[in-house]
Amino acid sequence: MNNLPKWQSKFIRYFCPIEMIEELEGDIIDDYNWRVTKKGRFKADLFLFLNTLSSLRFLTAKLFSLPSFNVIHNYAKVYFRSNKKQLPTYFFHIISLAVGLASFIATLSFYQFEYSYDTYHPEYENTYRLERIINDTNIEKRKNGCSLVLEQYLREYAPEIKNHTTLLNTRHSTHNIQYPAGTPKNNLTYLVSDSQFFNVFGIELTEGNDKTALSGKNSLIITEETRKNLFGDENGLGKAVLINGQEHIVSGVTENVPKNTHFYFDYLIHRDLYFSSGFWHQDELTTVWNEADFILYYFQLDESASISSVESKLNRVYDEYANLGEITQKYSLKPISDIHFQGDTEWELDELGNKYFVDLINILGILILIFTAINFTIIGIAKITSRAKELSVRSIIGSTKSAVVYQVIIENIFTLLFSYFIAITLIVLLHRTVNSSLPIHIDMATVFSLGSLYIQGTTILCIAITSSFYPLYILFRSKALNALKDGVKVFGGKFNLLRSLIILQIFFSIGLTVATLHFNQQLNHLLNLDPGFEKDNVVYMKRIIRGLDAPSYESFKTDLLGIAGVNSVTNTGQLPMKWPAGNSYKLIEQGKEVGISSSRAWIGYDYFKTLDIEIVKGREFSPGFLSDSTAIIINEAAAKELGLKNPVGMQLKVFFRSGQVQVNMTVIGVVKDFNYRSLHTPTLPSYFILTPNAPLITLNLDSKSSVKIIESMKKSWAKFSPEEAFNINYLKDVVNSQYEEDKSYKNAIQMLSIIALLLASFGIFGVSSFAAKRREKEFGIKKTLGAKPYQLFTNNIMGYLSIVIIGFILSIVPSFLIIENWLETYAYHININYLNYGIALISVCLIIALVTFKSAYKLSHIDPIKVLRNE
Amino acid sequence: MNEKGTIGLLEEMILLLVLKNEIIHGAEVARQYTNEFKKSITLPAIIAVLKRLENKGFLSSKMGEPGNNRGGKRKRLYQATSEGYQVASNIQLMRNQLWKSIPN
Repeated sequence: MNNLPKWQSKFIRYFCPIEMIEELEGDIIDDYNWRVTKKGRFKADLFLFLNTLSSLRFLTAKLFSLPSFNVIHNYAKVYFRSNKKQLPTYFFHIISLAVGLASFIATLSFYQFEYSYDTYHPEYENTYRLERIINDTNIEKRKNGCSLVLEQYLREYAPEIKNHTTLLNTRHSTHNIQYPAGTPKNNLTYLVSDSQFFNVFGIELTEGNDKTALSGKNSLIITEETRKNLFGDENGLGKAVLINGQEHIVSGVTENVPKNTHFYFDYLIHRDLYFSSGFWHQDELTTVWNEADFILYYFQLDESASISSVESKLNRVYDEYANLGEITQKYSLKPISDIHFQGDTEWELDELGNKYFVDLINILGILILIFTAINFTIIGIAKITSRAKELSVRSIIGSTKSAVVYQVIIENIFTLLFSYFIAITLIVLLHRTVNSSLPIHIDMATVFSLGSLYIQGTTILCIAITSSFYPLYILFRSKALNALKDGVKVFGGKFNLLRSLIILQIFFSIGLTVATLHFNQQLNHLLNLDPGFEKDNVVYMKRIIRGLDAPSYESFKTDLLGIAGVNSVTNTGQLPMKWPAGNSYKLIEQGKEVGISSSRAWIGYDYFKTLDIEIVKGREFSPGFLSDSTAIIINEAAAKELGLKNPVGMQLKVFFRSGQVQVNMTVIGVVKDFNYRSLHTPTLPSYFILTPNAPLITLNLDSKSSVKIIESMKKSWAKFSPEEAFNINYLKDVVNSQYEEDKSYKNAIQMLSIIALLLASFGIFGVSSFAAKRREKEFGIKKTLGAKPYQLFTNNIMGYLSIVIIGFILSIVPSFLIIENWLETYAYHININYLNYGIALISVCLIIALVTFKSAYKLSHIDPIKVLRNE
Repeated sequence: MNEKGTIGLLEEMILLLVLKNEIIHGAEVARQYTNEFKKSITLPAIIAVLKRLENKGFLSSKMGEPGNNRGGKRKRLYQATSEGYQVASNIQLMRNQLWKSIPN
């Protein structure tokens, strides 16, 4: 053979440095010819192929020898050289860029994480949860759950449902779980489901078979984390574990539950086990239609199935088999990916997300990114003017415009990449702190997910390109020769971008400051607002298993009242501020058709006395009246909505068991409205009925409630309920906990606002020190003409303050509208405080004065001889 | 020893082959390597090692005449430098000393 086959020759030429090709090709042919004579054609061909492939090892050498590599290498050299001159400033730029980018990436990942709930499963788009919309004479209620009765009709009536499973909402109860060799654990969360669980949710088993793992009463599935927690490094499958003393064999181990699901479990049990433990009976749940809201149905539909047809098929089942008179009910299907933001707050399996907050954080992150980009542009302008001579020389000796453009863009990319790596390092180091102290969850897997990396990459490229435009425009506007002599002209021209960028930053800064101030004031307003009941001196104790029976409660109460310092004692089903949102029942004036929707609470005697709520008309429940078991107390809002001027003594129709039972009750009192839910919502109609044994025993204490009272209470508690631990809670804490979420939101928003403000002031600082350099001669001339330093100083500062005023004026209307709109979402809200605008204006002015002070001072004390000596 | 002075086993073997032949090109090294050690080796691997040895200063090279059985392409001829010889003999010396100290 005299020549290599074509593709092999091409391959070698493509992957090897030019100077090696001749030698390599020659040697390979030489080697081939030798092998043909020695070992035969086949082996020689084979070795030829190996030789060619093996020449890939010269790829890196090839890359280093490429001309484009040299160009980039050269750019990098120039880049480092030009930045080495001003190392501190350079680092300052990089750090500020990194902080901006880190904030953006963190908020972006938070946003992506929150919007990725329940989307990890490949079939999530076909997975739905069943909801019931109950229409009870004009009052519409949504419920998540449905009793087991529906299950038996699914296959026959709705064959589009490929798989279905149930989850039982038991988030309020815990087990005691123990591996005989280990310590007992009782803080683990469990979930109750059935054998179809693994078909519907995309959670995979690491040990065991997903068809049979969760098959009956005795099966137990644990997550990897629980396995480690219970058994350490051993395998989980087949191990015996005690749950509440009963032995269970681990039949499967799953991967850890993804964090972005609307449920969470440490271990999973079959619902047969749950039902066999006694509280609910399975037979009962397979016959009644409207009980057991805690059973959640999940359907996986065929891809071709239409939701509305499945819904109507399910409704047909209900119409045919359920007979509930005037209550109508419709089934509806909710996509599982919607649950996180649109779930029912009362009966969800895990915490829900707040869409409003997530969007707000995302907007703040984008704002910070804009500030960062603006700063970067400003830096770019300053840089390009200081390097105008270098670039001009290059264009004079014949480099093309495109070479300069590439150089500027590539240098920008270098800077951004550096800050990007610092930003990522910051996130990696700080994400735990942020996750534990702010309501922003930074999920590292999301930060490094493909989608997120793509957005990060394009963002950086976009900033690099857009922020190069204006500096390059400035550079090319002036002639190369002039630039050599005078430098480039930045100011002047019809459109001054630099000034517009600053105005934009001021615009956002003012808006942010005003919004944050309002947010703070609104929160304080809520915290200090009188909820309409006594919260400071009220404590409560909770019976977890069930309330005391009536006689022992009475003697417990007498015992407690005997303690000096206890003013009054009552018991109740719901604490004020803790009434669930779905608590809504029908209330009709007797003889009328249409009623109102009202919340209800079960309370004991002396409830209103204990909570210090005024009774406007009539009286509260009292042991002296036997007829109080059919008596009702309503609040003012209910009386108003029912249209009753004097309700005491009237009969109202009250409904129980989803409307299946109606009772006529006599109104014996009307109480003043108080806030039984958070102050986000106004007081809605509510009524109160008597119960002898509600589980929350509530006490009103003297304002100086001492340790001694608590001790006596503890003794009394031990006497009456020895099987449960004594715990005392303050109503104050319950009330304040309503605003914990708002508080943590406030912290997050404040934090991001401060970062944004810092970045904005940094940008203005950059502009001022840059402009100061450009205007040295102007000020030198002014000085020689007799201007005093203080005149020059105020003149300079005033220039910046006028920019602030423009930004301020522009921001008034949009910020006003947005803040007003947001305050409307609270039922009890402050009005827009114009003082806040004043505060924002003054503080931004102060910051601007502060950051421009140095350059203004320097300019006003300039030595004219020095700056004008060349003229 | 600095990086320039270090040498791997394959490098050493190939350096020895070059020393043995005084002047040699890549394909011949491959052939002799196969004969001596009864092991096949691809040419790019040989050439990469030769280049490395040359960068370390143990070999020098020049372009030779075009050969008949190589499609008219020129050879690159490698020759060991005195440093190359020194390194190879040092290693040999060290090896002998160590070998003597091993108990039988």
